[in-house]
Amino acid sequence: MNIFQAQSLGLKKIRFNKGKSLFVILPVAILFAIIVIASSEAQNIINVAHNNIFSPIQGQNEVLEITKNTMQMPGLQDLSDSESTGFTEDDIKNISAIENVEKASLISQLPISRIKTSSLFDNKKVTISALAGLDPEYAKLYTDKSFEYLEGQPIPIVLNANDFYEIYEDWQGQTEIAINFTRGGANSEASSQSPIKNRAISYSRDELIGKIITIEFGGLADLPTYTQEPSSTGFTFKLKSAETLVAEEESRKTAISKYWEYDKISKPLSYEFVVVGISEGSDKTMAYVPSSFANSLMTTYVSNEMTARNGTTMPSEEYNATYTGLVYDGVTLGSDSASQIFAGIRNQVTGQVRNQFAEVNRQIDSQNRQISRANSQNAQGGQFQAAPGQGGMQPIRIQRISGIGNLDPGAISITFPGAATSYEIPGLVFQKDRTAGGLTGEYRDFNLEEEIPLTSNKVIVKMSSVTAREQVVSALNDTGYTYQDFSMYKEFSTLESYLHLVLNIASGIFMVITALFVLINMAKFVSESKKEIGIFRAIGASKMDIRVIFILQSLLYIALSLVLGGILGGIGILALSNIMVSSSQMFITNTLGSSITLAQTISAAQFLSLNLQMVTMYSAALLAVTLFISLIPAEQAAKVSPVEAIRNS
Amino acid sequence: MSNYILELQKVSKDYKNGGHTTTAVKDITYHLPAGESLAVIGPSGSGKSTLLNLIGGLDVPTRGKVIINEQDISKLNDKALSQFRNKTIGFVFQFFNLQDYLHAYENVMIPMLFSGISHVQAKEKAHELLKSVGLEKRANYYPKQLSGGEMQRVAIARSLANDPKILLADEPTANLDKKSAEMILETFDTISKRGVSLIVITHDNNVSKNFKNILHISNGELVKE
Repeated sequence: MNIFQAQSLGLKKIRFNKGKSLFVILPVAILFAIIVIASSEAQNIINVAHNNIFSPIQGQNEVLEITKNTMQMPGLQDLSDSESTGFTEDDIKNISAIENVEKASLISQLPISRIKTSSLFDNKKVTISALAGLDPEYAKLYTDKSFEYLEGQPIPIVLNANDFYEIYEDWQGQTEIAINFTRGGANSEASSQSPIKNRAISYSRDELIGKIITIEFGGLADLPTYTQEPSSTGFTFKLKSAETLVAEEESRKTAISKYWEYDKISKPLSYEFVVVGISEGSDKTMAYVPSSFANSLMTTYVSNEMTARNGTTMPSEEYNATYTGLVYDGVTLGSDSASQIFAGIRNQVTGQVRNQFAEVNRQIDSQNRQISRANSQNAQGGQFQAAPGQGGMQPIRIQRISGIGNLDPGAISITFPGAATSYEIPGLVFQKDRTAGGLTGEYRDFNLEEEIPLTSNKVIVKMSSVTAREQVVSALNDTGYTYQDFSMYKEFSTLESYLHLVLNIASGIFMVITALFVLINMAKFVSESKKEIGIFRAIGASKMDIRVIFILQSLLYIALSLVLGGILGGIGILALSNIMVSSSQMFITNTLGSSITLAQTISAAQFLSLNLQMVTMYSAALLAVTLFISLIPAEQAAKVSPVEAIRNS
Repeated sequence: MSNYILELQKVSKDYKNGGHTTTAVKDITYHLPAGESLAVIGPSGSGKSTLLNLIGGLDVPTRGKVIINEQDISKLNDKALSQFRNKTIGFVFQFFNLQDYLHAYENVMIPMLFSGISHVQAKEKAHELLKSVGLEKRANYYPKQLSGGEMQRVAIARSLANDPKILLADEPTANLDKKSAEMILETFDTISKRGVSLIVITHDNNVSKNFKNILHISNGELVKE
């Protein structure tokens, strides 16, 4: 009898004894279903843990960011010298020399004004406060998706969740609102009085990742719809009339048209992006695009202004008072010092927006005290207007923060009576005399490109391997770059290997149970089949025939059990996926969420995947075990004496 | 060359039961000429079935030789003995011993499958054999759908599957009504006319009267030929 005939015999037996067969098949099927569910879900948990916790942690931990804290206000003289506040190429050389540091780069905020998008959240205008170019090699810190810039495709962008707020006005039916700073000094009160408010936009990471958005760069600022004048006790907000706004718009148009094609310069650059990551956490201050795109964007941004110029020469009193832009001193390109102060504070504020206004206000007060001192030494006295991006070296006074909205480049405008109006022109670059300190004219060279170093207060370091982290961090600190490592990578990798161990042990136990079950079942099966064996032996079956028949029948039972168990397991996984998602999400939120920033969110699909590799391995192992184990009852069967078996009948 | 299909030479079979030895078959010597049939009769427990098992190669003698078709089967290994049972002997049991999960024709096919005949050929021959015992219309019935007589005829068809030289039948009619028993005997008659040696164990005189050679056994010993 060949294998196929023996197999067909087995199938006929099972089909004939359906009920009885089910008793053998069902328990093994259920055990197998449990194995399928347990191993799949365990693997899914491991995958989720790996993809959502360990991998980002590992990726993140290969990269670290060193930030120079610009809020430790240096002396006023230092403020005018961008070099002393940021990292330089020398720092990069020092850091790169550290063993196991694969690469180190400066992270520079692009000096582009008004980076805005309305397509991220339904028509809510969001401003990207700080954008920097990031080498794709470092992108692992923020995303597990591709961070390559490919022309013609949406540009990958990592957004900063601290930018997710909107500014709105609430005048409560009035046209004038006074804010009293002296009353009790409670800042929160002053904040609630302000008609200019902001609110955080709630977001779902899942929905944002992969979203295609349009971001605009530059363009002209929205004219403030109100004035904000200092009073003896605080500020007075006054809503501008429609006529005033139209008149202001007209006068700006006239002023700008003097030197630029208005339509061209007023129109922002626009690009399509795909959101690949969200950087979250109070210490995160930047949004990132691929550095290659950042470079080309800067070039376009600057050359856009140059092509919009109409050729009329701008006299020096104009660029020292009326028009503001970027400053290039032959070494670094950046916003002028005034806007740098704003940038620094804005970063601080957005970073700590949720609960740290008070602290920032203390810092601002201290800064204002310094500025007051500077003002007293300054011939211009108190009669000036401060706006972001304003040219020149004028020290400014910064209002206490009553909400981030007040720091929006378009919204922050403290009007002092008699102050001149200035306009910030996107892409306009002034040349600065590095030694004398004054602006010397417009920059007219179209080759302003990648090579021009931007000021930077951030260095990003990639190490050769995550295992070298401890050594790199310690070397950084020895070299004078203070870095406090909060990484829990080591603990997590231990946890991951434990998870694997637990999975393997659990699977092993199930395997043993199933094997025992097969053994018991098959032994029972043989004893029930003694008569059949005897008859087969009488009519010509050899011992080998009997062995083959019984082993094949065992395998057949197991194979059917596996199929049924696989189906039951699949159904089980489907039924469990939602529970798995919510429970693991809860687990992560409750245990790890508070201590680490996770780049991903768990989705139900992650718990739907059948651990095919494991299931196949188990099936094969189970069949092999069955084959091996059924040798025992099969041998028993072969030894059945036909005489006794027939006599018993 | 011997003319005997069956030669029993001083065949004895002992069974050990604890320290006690029982001799079920004692020193039997008998020769059956080729083509002839034999009835073995005797009371219950006389050793008839043991003798049949020895002849059929289901059991090996403690002493003596069982020579069938000039082959000493007591010297065969398991594989050869299985082949011998498969090809040279056909078994018919008192309780039919059909597989309940197989159709009538599939039961008939089993010995052919053990002998290595292809499934198609076996199926074809099974249908032929069922036709020869008058059961061609019952080929697709399960045993429990058949009467006792029909089941026994299926069993006979099965025993003839590999064209055996000897057909061994142990009380083939004991469980059948008279009419069915008669039909079985008619079938046996046809078979023996085709040259198959029939060896039937029976205590039914209606059966044994049809046989020229009769072996009387009592207490394991040959009483009368």
